[in-house]
This record gives sequence, C-alpha cells and structure tokens, in this order.
Amino acid sequence: MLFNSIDFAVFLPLVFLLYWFLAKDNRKFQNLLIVLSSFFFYGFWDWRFLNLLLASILIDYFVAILIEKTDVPSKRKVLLFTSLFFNLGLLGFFKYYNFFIDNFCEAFTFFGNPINKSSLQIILPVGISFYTFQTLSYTLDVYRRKINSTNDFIAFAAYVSFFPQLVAGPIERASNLLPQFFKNRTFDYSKAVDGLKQMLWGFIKKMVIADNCAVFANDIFNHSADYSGSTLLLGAVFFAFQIYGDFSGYSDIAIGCARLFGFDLMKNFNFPYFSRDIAEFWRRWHISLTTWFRDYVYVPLGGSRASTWTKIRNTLIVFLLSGFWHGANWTFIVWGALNALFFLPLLLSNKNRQNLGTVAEGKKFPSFKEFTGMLTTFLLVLVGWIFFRAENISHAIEIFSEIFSSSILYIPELPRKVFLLAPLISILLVIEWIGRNNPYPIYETAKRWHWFFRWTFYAVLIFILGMYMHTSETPFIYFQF
Amino acid sequence: MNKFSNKFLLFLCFSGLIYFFLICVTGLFLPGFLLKNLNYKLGSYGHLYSRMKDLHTIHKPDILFLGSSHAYRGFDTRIFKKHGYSSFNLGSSSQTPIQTERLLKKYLKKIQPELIIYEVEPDAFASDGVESELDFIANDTIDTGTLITIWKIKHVKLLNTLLYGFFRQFFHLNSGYEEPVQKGDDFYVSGGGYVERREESRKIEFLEAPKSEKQSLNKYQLIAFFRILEFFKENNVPYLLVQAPVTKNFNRAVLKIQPNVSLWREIKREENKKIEFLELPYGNNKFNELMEKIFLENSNYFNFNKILSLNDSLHFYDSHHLNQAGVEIFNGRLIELIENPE
Repeated sequence: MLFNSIDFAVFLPLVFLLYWFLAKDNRKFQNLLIVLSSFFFYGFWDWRFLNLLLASILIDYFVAILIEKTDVPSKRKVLLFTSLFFNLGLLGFFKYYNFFIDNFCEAFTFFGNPINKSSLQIILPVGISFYTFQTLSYTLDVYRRKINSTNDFIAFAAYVSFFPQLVAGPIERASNLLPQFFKNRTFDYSKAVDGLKQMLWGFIKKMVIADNCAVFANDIFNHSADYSGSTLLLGAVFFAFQIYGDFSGYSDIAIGCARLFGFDLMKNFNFPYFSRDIAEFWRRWHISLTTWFRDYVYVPLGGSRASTWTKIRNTLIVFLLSGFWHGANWTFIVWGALNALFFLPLLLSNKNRQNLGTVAEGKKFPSFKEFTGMLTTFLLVLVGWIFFRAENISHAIEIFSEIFSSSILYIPELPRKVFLLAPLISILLVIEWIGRNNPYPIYETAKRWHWFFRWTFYAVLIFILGMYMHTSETPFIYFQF
Repeated sequence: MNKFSNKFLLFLCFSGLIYFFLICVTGLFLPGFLLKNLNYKLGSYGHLYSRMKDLHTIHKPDILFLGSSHAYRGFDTRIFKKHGYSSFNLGSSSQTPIQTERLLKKYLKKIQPELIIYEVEPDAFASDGVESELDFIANDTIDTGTLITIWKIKHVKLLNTLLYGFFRQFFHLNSGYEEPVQKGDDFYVSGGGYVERREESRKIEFLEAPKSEKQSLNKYQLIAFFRILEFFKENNVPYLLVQAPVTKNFNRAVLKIQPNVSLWREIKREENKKIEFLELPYGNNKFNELMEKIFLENSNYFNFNKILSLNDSLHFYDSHHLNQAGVEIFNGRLIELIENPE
C-alpha cells in the first residue's frame, strides 16, 4: 500500500479510530492492532512475502532470547551468526543473487571461458533492506548487552513490522522504538496535530516536488543521448530534488503517521542540501542508515581512532557497503566510492566535524563562505547522483562527457511545463530554509498565529498539494532498495 | 481525543471552503499553464459546447453517432443526409465507454434514434477517461451523472475542474459564450455535430505512438462497454459497432496491445450477473482479435481498417484522422453496408 494512494487514505483513519477508540487504554491490544494492520499493509503488495517478514521476526525474537540466556561466548557467537546468516542471506538471495551470477559469468567470459547464465526471476520483496537491518540491530544490541531481549512477542513483532516505517525506514534502533511499545500510550492532542502537519509537508515534498521532478528527470535520463550537456545537468538537478523530495517526504509521512499513534521515530533527514561540506551532508542525509553503518560496521572496525590507513579502509568499506545496500548495480558502488573520495580529505585533515551546527544560525541569510560551501557540496552530491540514477557506468560516463562538452553552453531544451517547477522548488527551499532549526520545516510556522490565519496557511498548503501534485500514483524510489 | 476529532472535522470544512475559494480565484485569474490540475476549457478543441447545444434540438433522427474524435470527425451528417438519413453526431474528444454510457442513459430516451452507430477504438479501452470528462465538465451541464462518473474515475484534475465548473455554472458565467463555427482549420456543421477539417497542408505524424501501446486495458472502460451493450439490448435499440479507419502505422501500433487475462477474470467475477455473454478465458490474443470476438458475438461489427484500403497520404490529415476525401469514401461504404448488409 502506497502512502500516496486512496487505499492508504481509507486504511489510516480506520486504524487510527480502532487504535484510539477500540483499543484505548489497552497497550497489548494496541500492539496487536499495530501488528495486524502492519501485516495487512505489507500484504497489500504481495501477501506471499509476509512469510519472510514473519520468519525474520521469529528468528530474531528467539535468537535474542537465547543469546541473553547464555554466557558462553562461543554459543552467543553461533546464535548471532545464525541471525546474521538468515537476515543477510535473505538480502543476499533476493537482492544480490542475479548480480553475483551475472558478474561471475561475465568474468569467465572475459577470460575466454564463457559459461551459461542461470539468472532467476526474483522479485525483490518491498522493504527487505529496511526491516532486516532493523531486526539485525536488535540482535546485535542484545549480543553486545546494550539492551535486554524481550519476551513480549507481539511488542517485538510490532517493532519490526510497524507499518509507518516498515518499507522505507527510518531504520529504527530497538533501544529507541521497542521500549515505546512497552509504555502505555494515551492520546496527545498536540502530538497528533504535529503528526498531521509533518505528514502534510511530507506529501507536498513527495507528490508536488519529487513526482513532478521525476517526469523531467526520467525523460532526460532515459533519452540522455538526445539532450545537450546543459539539459543533462538540469536533469541531474531535477533528480537531486526528486530523490530528496521522495525519500525525505516518505520519512516525514512515516514520522508524522507514527506520531498519530503516539510514537516518536528518529529524524531521518536534516535539511541535507543546506550542508556546507560532504561530511555534514552525510550527517544529514538518510541519518538512520548512516548511523547504522557507523555503529555496526565503522566503529567495530576501529572507526577513526586508528592509523591513517585503517581510517581510509574503514571509510571506504562503509561507503561501499552503503552504495551496495542501495542495490545490485555497479552504479551504486561507484556512487558510494565517489562519496568516500569526497569525504576522505575532510576526515584526514580532521575537518569532517567543523560544521556541526545549523548553517547561518540566528541569521536570515548565509555568509558568502557558507553559501559557496553549500553550493560546492550540492555540486559534489550532484556528481554522485548522476551515477546513482544512470542505468550503468557507461551511461553515466556518456552523460558526463556531454556535460563537459561545449553543449553545456546551450540553452536547455525543455517543455514549457518545466517552468512551473522553478517556483515550486523555490517555495520548498524557502520554507525549509526558514524552518531549518526545527524537526520539520513547518513545525514552528504559523504556530503562534491567530487560528484563522494558521488554518488558512495549512489550507493553502493543501491547495498547493491538490493543484500541483503529480496525478498518477508513483511508488517511492526507496521501495526498490 | 474528542477535541482532536471536533477540530479536525472543523478544519476539514474550513480547508474545503478555502480550497474551493482558491480554485475559483486561480481559475478566473491565472493563465492555464500555471494551473497544473485545473483544466477548464470552454469551447475546447472538438466543438463539444456547440454539439451539446444542438443536441437539445434533435428528436428521433435516423442515426445517432457516438464515439471519440474518430466519430465526430469521421461521420459526416451531410453525406448521410444526401442519402436520405437524418443523423446527429454525439462524438467527443477521446470519448470513452464511461462517458458514452452516461450520454446514452441521459439522452437516449429524449433523442430516440432509429439506429446507433458506435465508433469503438482500442485506445478508448486503455484510457482512464479523464481527458474526455474534462471536456464534458466545461461544455455540458454538470449534474449527478457527472458526479458519479468523477467518483468512478477518481482523479484530482477532475475534482478541481468540477469545482471550478460548478462555480461557473452556478453564477452563469458561460451564458454569454458563443462558440465560433470555425476554429483554426476546424469547421463545425451546425445541427449535425460533425467537424470538418479544412486544411491545405497536412501534418501527418507517422511516428506518433498511440497511448494504448504503452497502457494496459482499463477495467472500468470494459465494464462500461459491456453495460452499454446490455443497455442497447434492454432498450431494443438497433446498433452497429464500427472501427474507423486509421493509418497503417497507427493501426500496427494499436495491434501491439496485449490484454491481460487476469483482468477478464476479474471483470467476469465482478460483473458476472450483468454480463452473461462474457465467456472466459480468451487467452492472450491481440486486442483486435479479442475485441472482434466480443463484438461479433454481440452485434454487427465493421472494422474499416480491414474493409477499406485507404491511402495514408491521400486520405488522412494526421496519423488517425481522416480528411474530407477519406470521410467521403468511409461514409459512402458505411451507407452501402447499412443498406445492403453482406
């Protein structure tokens, strides 16, 4: 079920009413309702994959209990590896099987021994990369004795399958989300209103910005040979706003939706396009995945408190894994490698933590230095996005060769409709800039206004959504990961 | 919780009013290209406004034509008149079975034609019906039938245009509008509904791919189509299904559509009681073979892409619309077939 669908518009109010009226004051019933509705939500795509979700829940539920019960290090390790083997095995099979087979065969062909390919028609279960990482973090934390395992199966199943964030995150840690399922939840008016506001902003980012940018980005990338360098560059800019609007919009809807049910999810995006360097960008983009890799890969490998070569190795590993996590394609791996290359100079010169605060804090406009920093970072990110969006490496190289040719000076060949996007993106940037200190941009906007003006402001946002949204249901980009 | 529910409902009403207000204001004052999801075109391409006005003067014609632009640009009521048949052309741009069904239910009893010639084209079965409905909102009276159709199609552009159309209708803002008979190269035949293309230079886009090549069949269009056939039978109205000629390139592209077998099963399941004649499975036949099977089982069906061999350069002004020379050949042959069925 897509957030931007009529099905969800019926599903959400129904679950909300059942949750607060029928299951009111009964935490266990509320949790059960969350599990049932989450399974319905997930099964709406393809009920066959509910088995995988259920298996993942069962394995990690029992493994964690067994890990906690034993103090024998070897047994604990065996149990941990069982969980790792199962979860990563699922990912490996569904996401990477054909990639490895294809590359293996191509390697043999390259060395003069062609072998027959036997690729399977594998459908990637929606959200598998997200929920496997979420369950893994629970088992790993129990193994490291950071948290205790739970015996409450329903609460654990609700934690893994919680429908707002099941298919595209934020990838929640058990230490943050799981305890919330053990607490009694009473309806909080301001929290629910906040949730709705954040959802509204998320829908605008997804349906107005991302989906409209997607029309042009897709056309330009799919027919890149027909376009000049300037148009291709503009296509990359459209893609940058498409992916940001799409994924951060999804996260806003997920966080807002969770708030309606009394839950606080972690922030997943923190105005990444206002970053002054690439290190800051990675602290602000897909935060739940970045911190996951930091905590479960980078730090265990030695992190930054090691020799220079170890630091370089660890950084490369994390970025390459991050790229590979996005999909079985060399373009994602190159995207990861490129970001590592952009990040390493900052890390090695100890400048990776120089921009920790909010840009232009307490000021209306950024300084010249901050502005150039943001622009440079955006251009670097754009280079990465071209690889991320391209069909394959040679496609990306073709796009770059056109961008770095004289055709970059041509006037971009775009339809008239595209000019509507400029004011829409500008409105997005202005509102996000004004609200950059807040959990989400419109958190403070209009809060202290007279009710009439405040409601009018939200009604105008709804009008913008209705008037400028893309009219066909478009799946979220990150569902494919 | 009660506070939340009450305020939320109040806000919904409030935002609904603001939304309606902004739709009216932007619709009145902003240029069309700034209104992405509002497309109100009074007197749009296709002369539907004049046609709907003329419709109220028509009673008991020999023939009523229905269908898309292939109908209102393909059946020249003047040619039929020459052969002694009174007729009216109720075709409209991209008309799909959903709109045809509504038109029939709304106007058939009033018009009472002797024969209905219903132009069917594969593209209409793949369409969501939005384009055609937008045309009707702006150029016909908005009534409960319009609301039901919009509810079926569920598209935000239709909702916005409906709100704006309702506003214009309520304040009679269209009352002074007179649609010119000639718009560009199009000439409207008053009282007949036919639109003649008077064009010196042709603009054939032979490479243009029809939409249906990229789309799958629309379940609701198929259901509406079967209901239309049922409606004809229930009301004892003689009817003829006609596929109008298109250029060879366009026809080839249309033939590429593959129907979805599970879709037929779904329709069979949902509409089992209403559509008894639909037998399954049809298999993965090509669209035309499949449709012909259904058409021929139920009615007289003429596919003029097979009956006539027209010249793409001489008889069309674009990839799927006949020029006047083509229309004369097409209509002449159709009249022959009506008078002397083979």
